[in-house]
Amino acid sequence: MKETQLKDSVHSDSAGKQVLSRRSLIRAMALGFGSMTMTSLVSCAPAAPAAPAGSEAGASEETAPAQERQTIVMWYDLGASDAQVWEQFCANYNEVNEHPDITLEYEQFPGGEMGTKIMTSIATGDPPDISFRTMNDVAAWHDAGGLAPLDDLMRTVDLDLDDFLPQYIEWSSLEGQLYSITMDILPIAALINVNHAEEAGLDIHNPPADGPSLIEWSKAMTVKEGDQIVRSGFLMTGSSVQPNVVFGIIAQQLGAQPLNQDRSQVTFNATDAPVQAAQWVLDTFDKHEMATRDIADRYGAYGQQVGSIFWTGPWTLFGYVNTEGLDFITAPVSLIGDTLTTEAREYGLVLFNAPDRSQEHLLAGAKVIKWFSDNSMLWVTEGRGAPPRRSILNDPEYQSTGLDWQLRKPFAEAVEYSFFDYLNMVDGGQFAFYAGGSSTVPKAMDPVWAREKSIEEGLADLEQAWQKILDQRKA
Amino acid sequence: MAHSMINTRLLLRFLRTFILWSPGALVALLWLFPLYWMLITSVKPDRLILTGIDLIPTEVTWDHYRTVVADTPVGRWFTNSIVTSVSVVAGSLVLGSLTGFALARMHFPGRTAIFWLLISSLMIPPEMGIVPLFIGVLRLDIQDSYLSLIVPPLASVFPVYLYRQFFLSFPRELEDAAAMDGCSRFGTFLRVALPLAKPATLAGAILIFTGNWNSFLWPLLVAFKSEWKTLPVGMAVYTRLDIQGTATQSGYGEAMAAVAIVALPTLIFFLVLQRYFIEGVTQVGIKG
Amino acid sequence: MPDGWLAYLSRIRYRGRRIEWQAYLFILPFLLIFFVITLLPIFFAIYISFNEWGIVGDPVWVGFDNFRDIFQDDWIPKIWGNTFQMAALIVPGTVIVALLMALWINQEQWLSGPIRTAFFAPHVVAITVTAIIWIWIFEKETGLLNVALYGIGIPKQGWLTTSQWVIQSISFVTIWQAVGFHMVILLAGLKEIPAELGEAAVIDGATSWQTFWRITLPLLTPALGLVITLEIISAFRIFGQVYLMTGGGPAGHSATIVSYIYNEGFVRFRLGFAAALSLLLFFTILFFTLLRTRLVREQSH
Repeated sequence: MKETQLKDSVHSDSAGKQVLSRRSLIRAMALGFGSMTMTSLVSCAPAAPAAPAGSEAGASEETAPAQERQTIVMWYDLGASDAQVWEQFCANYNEVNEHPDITLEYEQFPGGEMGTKIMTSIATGDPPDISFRTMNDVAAWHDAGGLAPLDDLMRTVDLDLDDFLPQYIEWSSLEGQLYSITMDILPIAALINVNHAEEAGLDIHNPPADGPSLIEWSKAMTVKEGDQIVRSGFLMTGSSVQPNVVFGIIAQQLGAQPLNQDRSQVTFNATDAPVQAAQWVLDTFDKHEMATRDIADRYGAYGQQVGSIFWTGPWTLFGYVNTEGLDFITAPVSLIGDTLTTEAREYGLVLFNAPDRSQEHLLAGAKVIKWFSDNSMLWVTEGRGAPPRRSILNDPEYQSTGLDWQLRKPFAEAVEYSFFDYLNMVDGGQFAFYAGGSSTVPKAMDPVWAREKSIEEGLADLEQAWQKILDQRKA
Repeated sequence: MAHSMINTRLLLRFLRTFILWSPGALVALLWLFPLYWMLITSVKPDRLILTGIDLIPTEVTWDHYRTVVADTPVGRWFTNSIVTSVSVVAGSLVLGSLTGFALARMHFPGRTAIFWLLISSLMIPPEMGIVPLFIGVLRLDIQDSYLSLIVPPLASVFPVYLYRQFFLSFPRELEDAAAMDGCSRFGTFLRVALPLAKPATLAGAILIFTGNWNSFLWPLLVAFKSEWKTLPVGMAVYTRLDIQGTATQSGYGEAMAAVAIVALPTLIFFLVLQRYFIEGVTQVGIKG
Repeated sequence: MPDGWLAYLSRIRYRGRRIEWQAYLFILPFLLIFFVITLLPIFFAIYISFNEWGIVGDPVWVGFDNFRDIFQDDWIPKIWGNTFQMAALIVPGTVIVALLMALWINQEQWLSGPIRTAFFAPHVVAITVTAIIWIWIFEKETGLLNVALYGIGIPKQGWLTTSQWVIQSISFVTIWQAVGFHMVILLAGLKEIPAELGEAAVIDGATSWQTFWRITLPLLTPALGLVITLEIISAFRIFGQVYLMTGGGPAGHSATIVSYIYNEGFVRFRLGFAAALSLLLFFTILFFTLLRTRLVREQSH
């Protein structure tokens, strides 16, 4: 409730508009129920006690006196085991109490729900203060006028921006202004089940580095009962994220470029790389029979050991390390095309702005962001991906604390050769290969994986849909 | 001799009943089975959940319930659900009985038109209006409040329909008698019609209560803070995270415990009051 | 002066009877709420369906562009097809099972009560609950259904993960949950049929099949009509099961009209497009409801 009080006090300082509108609603309700009481006046019966549902309205508190203390609200959408670490991180902030005048309130949402809520709350002028999420929607939030530019604020709170590797500053910028402070970078690497490899007589110290050996390994670890694959050597799902991200990685290893330099034209199908990549994905199911389409929950499947090699991100580590009986190593994704590359995303903290937010309030938010960035050692060693800051990368503690470095190392090193989806553009999420549901890539390609459409049809649809988004953006 | 003949007859009758009814009873058991499976999975230890399909648990543990209670503000969510559902029931009954009475027993221009307007609105997909409504809630800054949970469900046409159909079946004489006693229309409504409509009130209360307890999309949208989630919304979010998010093998025990916590109040409510449930639906059926 | 007004008002007649002005006070509270919560948002949605609007900023008038986009969208035939397939399973499935159970329970035996209870129970449980229970039962490797089938030599199936089964699985869960409610409505209808009618028919030498066909079914028409209408409306609006059980997957094979409306409206904020789609859905439901009324009316003549 503190937050509401604070908001109300801010309102009364500036406009008082929203407080007023709430009052007018309550008044309208009172009118509604009042009319019933009026009716009772004309009757012979004793006046009816007509005071039902509206009574709670009185409970919503009125304007509180202005307070010194700032409440900063943070939303995050982590869903895997990493959420526990982030929650700990947030709790640490309040416990350490470096800024005695700031209280951090944090709320976890499922990804889709959080996207909806942020956008609608920007539209109505009441977003949270900070969110922790992928960069996909940052450009849209910026266009909606919901973000505070961070350059000046970060200078004021003394966050050392020169400590960041320059590409993360660049990717977090729109039109020359910084809008997000990168917390970690999340490339895809391969988790390999040690027991399965040993059962199949494979040398776990020499994981598959290229396409042929990946297929050889996967086939060797696949277990069938009759026609049915009961353990996928190469863990896939029939649609959604997994086949699409594998497809995206391989296509780009083979040299495909989704968009041209100025992002005005789709160039993905300029070479036959996407065709080859799509064929590779289909072959895992139908030719090599090293994966089944019948898995819905890829994380659960790997935890239950019905998959042996799993191309996934570092957010799974914390959970799998704590899964009883699961013994795995991490390795880079195999080189299937000509250049080694893998998909990566970055997660960052953004600061929201709204018409009624004071400069002090934004500054308080900036202080919180700086604290999280400065203290992100816990996050990048226990929770998740690679740090964007040199000081952490060079700190011996980075490798010696947290989860086993051998498990984290392939992720950290993959940062060097990763490609990033189109982070700093509106509808950037529609260009992500790491996507499910009715997002653009799965919408075009899922029917291909289900063999309902030819590869060529799927790729043509993808190109058309992407071009349409680009054209709309221009218009 | 006579004695054993009676026995044979009894036995035959018993057999006949048994043969006639056992397939149906079997189907009924199968129908209940998913709910039973939820309950027993929720008390099985993890290692038994994934390995066996024993229909009667050999070992019972409350660990999953403990985990759920420890991980979630279950008390707060429960309170939200109770407060919301009870208020919606009270509000709906007041609004529904007044409106239903007027539509059934009073003479005024627009009566038929209003009734058909209300009925045809049932065909409109609620998702159609939900975006503007949601924006309205945010503009008024009443998300995360009982107001936003309670007021929108009050627009449901069901209680109006229920009362209207019920009041239509009243004989005219009742009102005339009341009018002779000098009652105004509201007096007639309050003193004569409403007490006689007790079956409709009970039926409405029960159906509206469960309907609201179980509603999902709207409460999901208007709860921004965890403390404002209702029980089904909170548990749905919790279990989905648990099943799809974390990479543990133990998800299903906790998931079943979580949904059992949501289901048990309405199930118990139903078992205790099932006569009224059935009567409620019957009201809808006959009077419709 | 006011007296004169009141006297005048109280004398006004409408269709030969005095108007009871208090009626408007009776209906006002509800109509107010109905107007604000139901009608206003719908008018707004109709307006938005002719606009392009991404929730922020002002809507831009685009005429019929959203409707044109609907007919050009790849997924529209797919989601429309999925929804129709589900409706084609759910509506007859629910009605037939409910009718059979109602006829059977109507014989009033000692097990009628408990059986009715068993069938009705799933209806009082939240969709969030049933969805999660069935996800667990349908689970590919360790789910009860596959383990049981495997035990009798049938290979494990991906009930919610393959296009082959996903529509049937979701429809089955829907039927399971809805049957009890409709069974009770039909039971009520059956109870209204005078027993003498059936007895008379039997005396006339009608078989029980003929009795059912000539007497029970025609007299049950009102209740059946209600059941079918309610089922058509809810089958076309199917969403919760999909949202919670498959998210529309695999490859959009269980995506329905409403789940697509939700996705385009609430995830991608193509609010004009979503509103246009919901308008089309409204007309579809209206069409089938009217068709149903027609058919049933002709049947009963």
